Amino acid sequence: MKYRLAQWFLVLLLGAQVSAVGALDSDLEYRVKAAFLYNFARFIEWPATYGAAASDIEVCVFGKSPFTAALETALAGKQVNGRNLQPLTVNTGSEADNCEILYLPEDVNEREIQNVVSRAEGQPILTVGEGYQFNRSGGIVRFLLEDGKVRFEVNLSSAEKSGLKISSKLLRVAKTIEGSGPSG
Amino acid sequence: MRFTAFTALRFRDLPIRQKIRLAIVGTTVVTLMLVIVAFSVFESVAIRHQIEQELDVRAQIIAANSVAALAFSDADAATETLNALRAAPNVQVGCIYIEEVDKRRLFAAYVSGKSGTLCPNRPVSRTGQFISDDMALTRDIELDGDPLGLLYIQADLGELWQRLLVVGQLSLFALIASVLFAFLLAGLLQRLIAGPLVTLSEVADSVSTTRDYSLRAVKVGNDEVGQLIDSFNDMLAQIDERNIELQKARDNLADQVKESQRANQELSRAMDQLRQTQNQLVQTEKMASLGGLVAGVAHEINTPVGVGVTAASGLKAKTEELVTEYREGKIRRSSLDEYTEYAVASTNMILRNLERAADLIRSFKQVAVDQSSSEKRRFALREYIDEVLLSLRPQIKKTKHVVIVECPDALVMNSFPGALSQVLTNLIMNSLIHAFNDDDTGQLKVDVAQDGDRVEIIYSDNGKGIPPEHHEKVFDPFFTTRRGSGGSGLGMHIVFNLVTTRLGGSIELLPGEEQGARFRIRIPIER
Repeated sequence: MKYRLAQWFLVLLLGAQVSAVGALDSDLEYRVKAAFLYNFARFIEWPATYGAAASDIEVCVFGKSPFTAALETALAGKQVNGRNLQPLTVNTGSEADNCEILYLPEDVNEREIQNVVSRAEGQPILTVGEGYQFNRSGGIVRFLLEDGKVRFEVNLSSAEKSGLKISSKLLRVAKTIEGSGPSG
Repeated sequence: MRFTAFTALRFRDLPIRQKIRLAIVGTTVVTLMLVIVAFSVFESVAIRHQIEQELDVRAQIIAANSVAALAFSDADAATETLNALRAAPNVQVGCIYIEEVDKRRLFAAYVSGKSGTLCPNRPVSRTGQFISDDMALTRDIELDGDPLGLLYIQADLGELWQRLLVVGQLSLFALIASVLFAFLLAGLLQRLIAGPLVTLSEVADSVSTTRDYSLRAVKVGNDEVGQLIDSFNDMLAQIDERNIELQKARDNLADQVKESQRANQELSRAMDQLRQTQNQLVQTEKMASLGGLVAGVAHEINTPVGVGVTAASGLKAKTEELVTEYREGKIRRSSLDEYTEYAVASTNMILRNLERAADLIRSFKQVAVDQSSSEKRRFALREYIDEVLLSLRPQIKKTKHVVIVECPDALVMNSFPGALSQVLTNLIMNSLIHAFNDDDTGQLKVDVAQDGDRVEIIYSDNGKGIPPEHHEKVFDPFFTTRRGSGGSGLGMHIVFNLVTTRLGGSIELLPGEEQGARFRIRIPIER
């Protein structure tokens, strides 16, 4: 456990170093983002009615992606509040219905993102995505690169709608927007 | 040590007023100092604790707020969180370290502009140190039990010292005010406490200088000093009384001494007189016995001389008859024969009687000379006893008593015969006077035996004896049972003196015999 933790910090460290030179190689970027997903799970509370309390926290990746491998490594053996973290690949919006976290990588096309996010909206599913548009279209968290470092932005309206309790500690390190849905 | 001894001595010699003042002021100062020290320590601990608590709360908040920053490796966020420490002016440094694979790395820092302190390489908690300018505490930053990093906060304790300085100033002010107050109060109290003592001391002084024990101290209150004054006055009264008694006793004693001296003088004068009288009496007694002797002698000589005178006067008448016949021529042969026969008989008688008188005189003379002189000579004891008895014949002859003498003929002594004569005379006279009734036929016995170089004479009579209660007093001077009838009480005393001193022997009254008195005399043959 400790060893893995150390590994994880090493990842963070490497991420920081790499980011310093401005060129983030994709493998490292994946690992940092995977670690972030794990950390999101630690700062977010899902409603007690969503899923069985003892069941795994399903961290889903939409579509086939090289990111899945990095996620599997990052979540291996990890627990949050006694619940195992389970990496999962989903291919349709309905498959994602039971996910606690749903990550949509860059290569998912705009339409599909729109569908999936719309479906997940109002559900206690933490949707995580990439790109400026993601949060504006109803996604809750999006990754961004700032000075070569991985950062993230939280759409507070979407988060509120989803019924997730996001720790203020998480919000402290997040960029936040009061963005509304695509209609707004 | 030297210092305390010195101050103790000084304190002991101080007047009581000063002592009271010193005691009150000293007690106040010491008490206050103790209170101030205790209060300062307490205050210091309390302030330190308060600062520590404040710091701890801040640390807790910052640690909690920097969890996410550490989790997401957001140093800016962490720094921003740390900047909240700006609100606490006493915080010098706040540092967040991140846990890495094998070491701890500085992640974010807040440094107060005032102090030049920077984040330490090895953050260590420093609290509870009593004397220090700053304090530091560390706090682990954890997420769900996983250590993410460490928070280090260091604060300076200037506030503590500042607050303590205020406490100190207040204390100093309180101390000065208290000492002033105590000094004034002491001035008031010492007058109340020491005043009576000082008065008492003055009275005691004046008593000891003037020796006037009638002085009394004035009592003020009923406390210990009041009791002391009472006791002091009592003591003075007792001394006064005792002085008077002592003077009286001394006077009495002097009188008594004078009286006893006078009594002593009188007593010794009386003693002298008594001794003189005794000597005179002894002499008188001696002379009296000599007188008796002379009377006896005269009586004894009277008989032969009288016979001689009768014979001589008869011879004279016969001779004158013969002379007349011869002148008238009528002388006859028959008358001449008758005269011649008569003359021879007469002269024989005269001669015999004169010789007897001469014998008597010689022996009396000897006894008398011996009695009155103290000459020592050699004499045959038997003959001498006979001579003494002869001199006593007139007294013995008046009675029917018999004197028996048993003595070896050859015994010759060299001693003082006069003393011995007096001893025997007195013993025999005593027996004659005391031992018998008038018509008794008694027996007096002088039994002499030689015992080595001594002579033992047992003198006894078979009379009434001496009552046992008189035995011890027999030889005492002036002891007599017949004072009224002429006893001087000196006879046996003279006997005792002569035997023990002149003759150098001893005399004792022998007890035990049913009848009569028995004396044993032991004297040396050669004196």
